[in-house]
Amino acid sequence: MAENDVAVSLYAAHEKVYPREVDGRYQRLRNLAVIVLLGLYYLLPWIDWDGRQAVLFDLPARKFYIFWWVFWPQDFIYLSWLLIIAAMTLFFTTAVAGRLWCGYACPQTVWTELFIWLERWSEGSRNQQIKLDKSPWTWQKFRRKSLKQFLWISLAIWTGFTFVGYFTPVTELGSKLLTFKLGAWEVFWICFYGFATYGNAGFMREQVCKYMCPYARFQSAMFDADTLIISYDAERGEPRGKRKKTVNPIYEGLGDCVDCSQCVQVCPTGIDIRKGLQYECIACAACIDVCNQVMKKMNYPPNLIRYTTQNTDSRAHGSSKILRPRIIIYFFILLILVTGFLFSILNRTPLALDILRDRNALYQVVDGNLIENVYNLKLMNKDTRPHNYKVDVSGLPGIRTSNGSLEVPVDSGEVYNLPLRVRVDMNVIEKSANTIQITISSVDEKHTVTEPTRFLAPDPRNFQ
Amino acid sequence: MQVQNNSNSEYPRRLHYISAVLWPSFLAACVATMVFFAMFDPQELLQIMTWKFSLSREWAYSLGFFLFWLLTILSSSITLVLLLPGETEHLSKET
Repeated sequence: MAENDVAVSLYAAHEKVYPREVDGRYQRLRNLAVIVLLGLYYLLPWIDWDGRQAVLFDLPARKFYIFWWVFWPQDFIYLSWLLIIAAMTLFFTTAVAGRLWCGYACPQTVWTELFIWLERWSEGSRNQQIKLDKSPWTWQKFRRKSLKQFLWISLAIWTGFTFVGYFTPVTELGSKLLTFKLGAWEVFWICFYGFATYGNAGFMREQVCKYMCPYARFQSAMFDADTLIISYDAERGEPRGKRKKTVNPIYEGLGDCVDCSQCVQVCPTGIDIRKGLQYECIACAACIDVCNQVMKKMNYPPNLIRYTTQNTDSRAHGSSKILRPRIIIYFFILLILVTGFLFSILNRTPLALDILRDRNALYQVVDGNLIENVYNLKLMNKDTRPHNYKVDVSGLPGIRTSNGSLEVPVDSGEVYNLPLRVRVDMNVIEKSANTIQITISSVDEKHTVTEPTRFLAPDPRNFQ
Repeated sequence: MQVQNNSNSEYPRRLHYISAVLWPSFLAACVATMVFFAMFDPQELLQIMTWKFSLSREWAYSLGFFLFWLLTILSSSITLVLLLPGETEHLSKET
């Protein structure tokens, strides 16, 4: 089988891995992860919030809507901050529990799992799939293979459609799709993302992890001897060998491993966990589940393959330490990042103020004894609704604006240019460079921004 | 048998090379596109272009992404070429 497969499969010259179906605690956890994560992905664009799509990255309008927040390009810092938090979380979980990400949460794993479900549903169990692939083309084989392709392609298109639905209002996109009025770029991105999903989850599968994934290469940097890994207890299992259930293995000189090769058959990357820790292992724990089933059948204690750490395994240390410097440092960095992020996002004012000094004159004297400075204010209303804003100046006795009491209406998302003349009585000025504050607040007093700026005047010694 | 052996060693390597170039450059292009277009509005850039033409923002973003990807693919490919063994070494291995 291998030889033939090698010659025909362009995507990789290797034996196709047919992961055997398995049930157990970790497989159920994995199923749950698939349902929750993909459920979120497929449903999120359909949720309405305040009369708009709850999560919408409106690129044409340069606004990101995420539930009650609206982000503008000026808020890019939050996105980069979020990415740093995500990276730090990955480091932290890797240091504690190994490749949890790979086994349970990576889109590659999750979509592959979904594609495997569809494959099993149309082609049957592992053995049936192998038989089907070996058999010559019959009507039955054609029927099963086309059913699989139909399901895969439909799912891929739906995935691409959902992806574009995060950028174009999804209901609009849906009605455009049904009336064949999709724009060129929408069609392109649906196909692009759909094709990537189809290729990665249908065909590339474990090869993405082995050849393409950067994380798989550098995750070992976060590992130490106290990190959770999946490992075979060789001391207990060896020498492996087949035996009758009724025979006490000790009399046969055998360990607990019955050499049933189930752990190899369930492995989505096609490795033998009994050969020790390998970089191909994505820590999905399917081998733990299946081995425990076998152990139960044999009436042996479970966990011949189990989650463990190198320190527990070597038995010299006896047990593992969870709190170690690496973990504590990662944890505190993460804690600071997350609290800072939450604090700044919760206290975020949907109003931005930029102050530019007028470049033509430093100051001018008006009405005999008033010093006037001119500023250009840029007010940006980052809220979802229009607001009226009023302007206040403070910082020097008797300071006021020549415009009188100002109230400016600014539409949602609008940048309003406001020239502002600020006047101070010459007699109260003590030095030539003064700091004043300009405060913008919405009329309903909900949002307030204060920015300092400089107020320039002639040197008081010259005119006193 | 000889042919089979060749394909056996050539195909995964070629796939490995292609994915090793495409994938990291894709990620880098995503980041570059995000950062670039968060800073610059394509509509404002178009106004100061020497050749005047109009482009919707969707087109500009997509084009920008592919230009970035092209650039990063180029960079990754050059890295790959530089890391590949030289021609003579390659020949001596084959004969």
